[in-house]
Amino acid sequence: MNFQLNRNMLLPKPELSANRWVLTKRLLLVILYTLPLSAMAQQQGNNKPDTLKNEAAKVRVAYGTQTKDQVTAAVSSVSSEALRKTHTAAMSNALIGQLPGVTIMNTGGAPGFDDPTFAIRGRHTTLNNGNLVLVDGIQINSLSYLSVDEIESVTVLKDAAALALYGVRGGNGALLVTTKKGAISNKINIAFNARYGLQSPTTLPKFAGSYDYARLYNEARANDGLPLQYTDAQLNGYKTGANPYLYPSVNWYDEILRKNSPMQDYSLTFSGGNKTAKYFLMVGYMDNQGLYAHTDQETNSNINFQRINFRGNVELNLTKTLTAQVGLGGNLQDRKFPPLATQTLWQNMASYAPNLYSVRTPDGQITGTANYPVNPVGYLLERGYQSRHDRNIQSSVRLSQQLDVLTPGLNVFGALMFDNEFNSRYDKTRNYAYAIPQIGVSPTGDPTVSYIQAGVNSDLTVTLGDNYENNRTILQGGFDYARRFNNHEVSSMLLYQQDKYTALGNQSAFAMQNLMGRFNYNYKEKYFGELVFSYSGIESYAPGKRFGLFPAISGGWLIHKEDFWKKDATINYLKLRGSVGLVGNDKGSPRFNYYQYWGTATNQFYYFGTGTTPSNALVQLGTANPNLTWEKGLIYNVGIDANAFSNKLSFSADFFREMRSDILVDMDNVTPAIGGIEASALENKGKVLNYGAEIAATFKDKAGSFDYYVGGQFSFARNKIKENYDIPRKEAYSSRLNRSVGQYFGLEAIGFFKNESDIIASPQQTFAAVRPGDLKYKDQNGDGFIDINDEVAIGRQNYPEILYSLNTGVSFKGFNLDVFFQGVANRSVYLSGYMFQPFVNDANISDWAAEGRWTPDTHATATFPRLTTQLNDNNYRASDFWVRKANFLRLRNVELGYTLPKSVLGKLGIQSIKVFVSGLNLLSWDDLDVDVDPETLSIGYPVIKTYTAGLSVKF
Amino acid sequence: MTRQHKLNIMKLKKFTLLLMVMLTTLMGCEDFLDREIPVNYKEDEVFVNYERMAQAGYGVYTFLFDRIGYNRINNAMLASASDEADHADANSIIQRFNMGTWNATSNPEDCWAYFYQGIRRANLFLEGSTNYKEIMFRDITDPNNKSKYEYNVRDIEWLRAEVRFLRAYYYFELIKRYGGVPLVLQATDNIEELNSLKRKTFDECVDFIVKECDETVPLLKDTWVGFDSEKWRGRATQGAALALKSRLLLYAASPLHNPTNDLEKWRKAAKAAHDVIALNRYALFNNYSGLFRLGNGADGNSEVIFAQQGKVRNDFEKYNYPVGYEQGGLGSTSPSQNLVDAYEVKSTGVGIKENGSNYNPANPYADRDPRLAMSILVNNTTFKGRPVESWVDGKDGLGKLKATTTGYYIRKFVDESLDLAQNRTSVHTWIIFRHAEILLNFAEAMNEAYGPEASAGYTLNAKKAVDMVRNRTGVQMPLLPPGLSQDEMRQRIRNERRIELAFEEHRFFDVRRWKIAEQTENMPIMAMKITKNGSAFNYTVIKVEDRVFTNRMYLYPIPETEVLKSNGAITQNPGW
Repeated sequence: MNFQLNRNMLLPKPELSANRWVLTKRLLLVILYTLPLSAMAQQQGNNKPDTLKNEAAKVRVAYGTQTKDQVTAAVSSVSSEALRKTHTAAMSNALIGQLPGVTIMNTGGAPGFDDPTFAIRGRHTTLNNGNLVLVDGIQINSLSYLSVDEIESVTVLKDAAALALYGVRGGNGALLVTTKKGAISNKINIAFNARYGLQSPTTLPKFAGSYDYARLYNEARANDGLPLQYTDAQLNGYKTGANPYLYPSVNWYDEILRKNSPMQDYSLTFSGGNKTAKYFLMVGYMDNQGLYAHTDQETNSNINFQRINFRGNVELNLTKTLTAQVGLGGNLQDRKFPPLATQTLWQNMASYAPNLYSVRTPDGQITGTANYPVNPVGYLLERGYQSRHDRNIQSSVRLSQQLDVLTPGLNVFGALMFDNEFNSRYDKTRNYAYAIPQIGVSPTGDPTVSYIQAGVNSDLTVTLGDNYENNRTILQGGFDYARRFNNHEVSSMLLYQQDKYTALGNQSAFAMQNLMGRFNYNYKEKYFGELVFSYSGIESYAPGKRFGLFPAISGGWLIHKEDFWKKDATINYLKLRGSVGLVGNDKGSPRFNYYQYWGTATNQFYYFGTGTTPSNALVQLGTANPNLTWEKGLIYNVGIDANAFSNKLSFSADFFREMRSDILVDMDNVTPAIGGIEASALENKGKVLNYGAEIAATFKDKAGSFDYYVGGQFSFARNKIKENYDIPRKEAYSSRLNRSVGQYFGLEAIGFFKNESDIIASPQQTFAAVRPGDLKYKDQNGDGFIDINDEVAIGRQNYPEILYSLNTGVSFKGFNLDVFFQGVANRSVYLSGYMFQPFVNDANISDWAAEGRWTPDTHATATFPRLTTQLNDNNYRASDFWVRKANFLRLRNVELGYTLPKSVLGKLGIQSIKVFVSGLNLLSWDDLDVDVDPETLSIGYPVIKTYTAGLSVKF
Repeated sequence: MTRQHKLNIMKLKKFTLLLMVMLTTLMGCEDFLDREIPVNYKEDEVFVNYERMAQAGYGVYTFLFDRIGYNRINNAMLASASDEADHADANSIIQRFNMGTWNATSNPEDCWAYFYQGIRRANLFLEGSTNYKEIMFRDITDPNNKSKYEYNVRDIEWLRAEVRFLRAYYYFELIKRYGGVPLVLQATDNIEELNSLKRKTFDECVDFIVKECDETVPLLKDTWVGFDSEKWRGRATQGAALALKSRLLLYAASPLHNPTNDLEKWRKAAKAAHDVIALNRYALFNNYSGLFRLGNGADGNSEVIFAQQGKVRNDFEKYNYPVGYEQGGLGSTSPSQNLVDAYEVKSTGVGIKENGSNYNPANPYADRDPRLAMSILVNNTTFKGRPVESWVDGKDGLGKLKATTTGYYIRKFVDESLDLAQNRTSVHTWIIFRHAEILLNFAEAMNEAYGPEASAGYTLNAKKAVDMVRNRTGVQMPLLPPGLSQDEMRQRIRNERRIELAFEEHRFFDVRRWKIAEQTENMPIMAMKITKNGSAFNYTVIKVEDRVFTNRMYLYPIPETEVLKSNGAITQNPGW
């Protein structure tokens, strides 16, 4: 097998692969279809000025928009211009640090699999904290795969006033994505954006080479009282490295990874409109390649992700009083990846011993052994690839009829919306022959390596199938009414919605019905009051238990409009607002648990007769609870919005307190086992208190030709479990009550055992036989034994209580420089897995463990227990030894840009051209003593940093 | 009232009307939310016909699987928690037993919740099927199905008795570990009700189990062999219930539970064992090593009274093949020198340490009880086509990663013919009650109640029963000498039990009920260090590990959370 090892690893292959060509064709088709449409829209334009209010200036709220003055709820939003500065493949990663109160954590940068985790205002419940994501009113699973250029804004809804309309779905907060719409314009506005970035890992862990590995392995064997594994001759062989086949020393990262990988995206948008029609059209293309080198043959694939986004929003005034809005948007996602789970491949790179085998034989054949057949290079390059093709389409038609004939200010509207997700798979895989190294002895008595063949090369085999579709249908209809009577202004909305969602793996469709109302009143545009409610029902609960009422009231007071407020006061805008209301959360709740069911269950059978045909048993399934219901959150929120120094400074703060009740608890924890119940009932008995604050401020000003701004955000959310029906614990300090959701518990390590007499003199540790150099724990209850009753709260929890960010920038004569820092605090992480458990299953040892390991000589300064080759149940168990403070501050983004002056462009018919370079995740600061990324702590696909160059042109 | 005002009221009325229309619509389509497509039976759809009722009964049998048999404690056998063996994997949780580092929060073999789950299933079945005749009669639609109806009624009648037997057996499994336990005889999930159930004494539990055995014996089938195309082999029989009673009463008469040595208890135990023997249905099998590889339907063998019908598997072989065999040797049961030494010398019929035993330490495995080679793979015996190399630096020898820690591998139960490289599997049944145990139960009880050679009106005496076991075809150890004292006989019976029932989850409990665990389980585990010298071997006995057994360990602790949950209803065992 011939293999080009010295290809230029830095550049992506220039030719279009077949797969990419398909995508390109699709892209062209989309453009071809959309161009005539936009031209048509242009023709209809009458070049009349837009007399309607500028929608973009309004604040997005649930099922509508409000003016800034009107808003009495806790909402924050970010515009696509701000998100555009951060070049990420998954749009959601660009949201990090942009929305006060929203925690977004990276999960590594694997192309197409880089969805971050979200939480709004920390944790509300011990169960599912997932939030609602809506794009133009359609619930979707992830906003990662939207293009930043189809988005107008992303808004987070946080308090009851903002969320009550979502009924049982809204409790954990919601993210609303609003896509761009056309505006009346006398020309077609065309914009083209292009970005090209190079990605590389922020950090990779460092592991031992073969000499250190073998030497330390021997030390570990000696520590365990076992015979040594490597002879001096072998150690010497590894040390000199003279024969890399007999004494290999492989750094799998070096073998598999290239220095960086490209990511590029392009978008083209058209918008415009006239009195009868307004339109926005967008097509986008994104391509993100992975870090694997040499993946350019037929028998393999890099991990890569390509995406086409498209969206068209058209608004038509069909008659003077009837408007139609038609929206169609979606994306095509194509993922290709090696036929080995990404996590496994990276884990193998990190954990495979460096002396396991050379990557190839001297003849260039891939090696392997019976116990480790998965040679990472072989699996990557020889096994073919898998691919997934997803198509998501959201479409909506909305009609709105003014009913001024009945009463001025009344509208009736209706909408029909669909979301379709289609997923398919196409895999091409094969097996390959590999060589098993055999160590023998030459006639002269020297060790030699020879190879025996295993496996066979097979042809690529295509696997298709596993196609599935998820469908959501939404039907809406309602009235709204708005009118002013002198100093009184009222507005209201009454809306009915039903959702039906059929998803893979769920025989029974998800269904929801919701009757919603919003009533606003203001007096002199100074005192605002709002009542919202939803009467919301879902299918999972017993008949009669399906509907609930979720009301919220809120009010606002514009103090600066009062007579006593000086017109020239430093603070020129000041609003106080407050809300209280009830929200629901049905996530984490089992469906249809109201009947007591019996059925077959895994491993529940017996054999009768002389064969092994199982006779299935019929067993009582999970205990029913006919009273099962959703979690309820009673949320109080007060907020303040202020502007000062003639609007140069804007400031906003929110303070909240939520008591979440009716959280499901497992009654098994408190039901005596003599009842013999295999799965006890879940009951709505848990409670979590969550409270916190969000503060955001921006100062913008000019100094000469310099425009500059400084902004910052700070969010804090802390929760305490108030009721949990936990298993009874002997010691009060082990109680999870009044602790955070996810608080780490474990033993308190008080050093290492110095010697045998230290072990004898100490309380007995009951997990495994201990030796000098093992972790020594504190006997919290003084009973002379170290057991689980000595576990106390250690560190914090794995999500941060504090989020903060700082953004600042200057612009000067067309140049702009923007810098964005983001950080988290009050977070702990727990170190576990291969990186931290050297030699377990013969895994490699990290430099961190090797340097810090306990030996009789280093016992005073050691930072890691004695080495062992075994999964030591004494050391590798929950204790504060493995818990670290995981606060970090990151330079998330820097952008340096230049916008060409109008004078140059006017002649070309171009409105503006901007060129820029930017960098993502360039620097970070943390307290960790281990060389892993502080955000993920994973040895999987790493968090990436990106250097980007880009161009924006507007015609 | 102004015109404007009137108009406003009209509008308000319209609005109210609209609102009401919408609400009505909403309520009207409550069925929009009726989405469930049931794939299971509701509770009242279970005990409605024969098939479902029977399937509910099978659910009680499934609890025979996991707390008895192969690789069940973190891949270790229970034998490795006794002086029978060491477990090669030093990190297996079973080592906690041996280091004495276990407690009410960390019992490696906790069975408390498990057997109560089996008991609840039994209670649910017995309650649900109470009116089985009526239910099945209702289910008959075709009068021609009379014979089927009769069959079904008979079958459920048997099954109900079997479930009562299984419930009794699960209670026995509880009390042999924990001492007296609460008797839960109705399925309930009411916490107050459960917490009102206190622990019964050991003897009260024994009385309950005896009563259940006595009542179910007449209701159980005699044998499933030769019935309905053999399709029901493996179900419990009269013999099983009587065997349970025999073992139960033996435990109840033993020193741990009979501190005053009430001889009446021994007499009852002897009678119960004899009741099994008197069935004349069971006899010793002529192939000791083949007995443990019988496969499903093992009850067709004359010796097998009741067995766990087995799954198709090879994990036992993967763990227990010597380490040098392909795909084997994941590191498991290493039989101890302590056990090996207990096998007598074949030619003399006495222990190796006895004077004149003829034992040759330089050739330790020659002239030994044949059951040694049938139960334990000793050095240099042929296994899968090559000699086992248990010597230091041998393919399977001491010191190799995951190799035996004692110089021995287990052979009993092991399917030597499996090709692990091809991932081949075979059925592994586990005998729960067999005739040899009954004979030894009888011998032990007779010796204690009446003496070594007294017959007390039975057809057998203690010595004869032991001799039958020793004289099995293929074993044929010399018979016990006549005239042994009661104490000498006691030692011989205990040793015979140790040999005959090795690795069958008896020793672990026997040393407890005999109250000798503080001696046997505090003795270090010994190994045979074998060095190869040309074609000869040198044998040295060395220590592998110290063991720890303290007085409190005679009974398991009740799981601590259960004591805490129960608000004082469940009291902890002494010392824990």
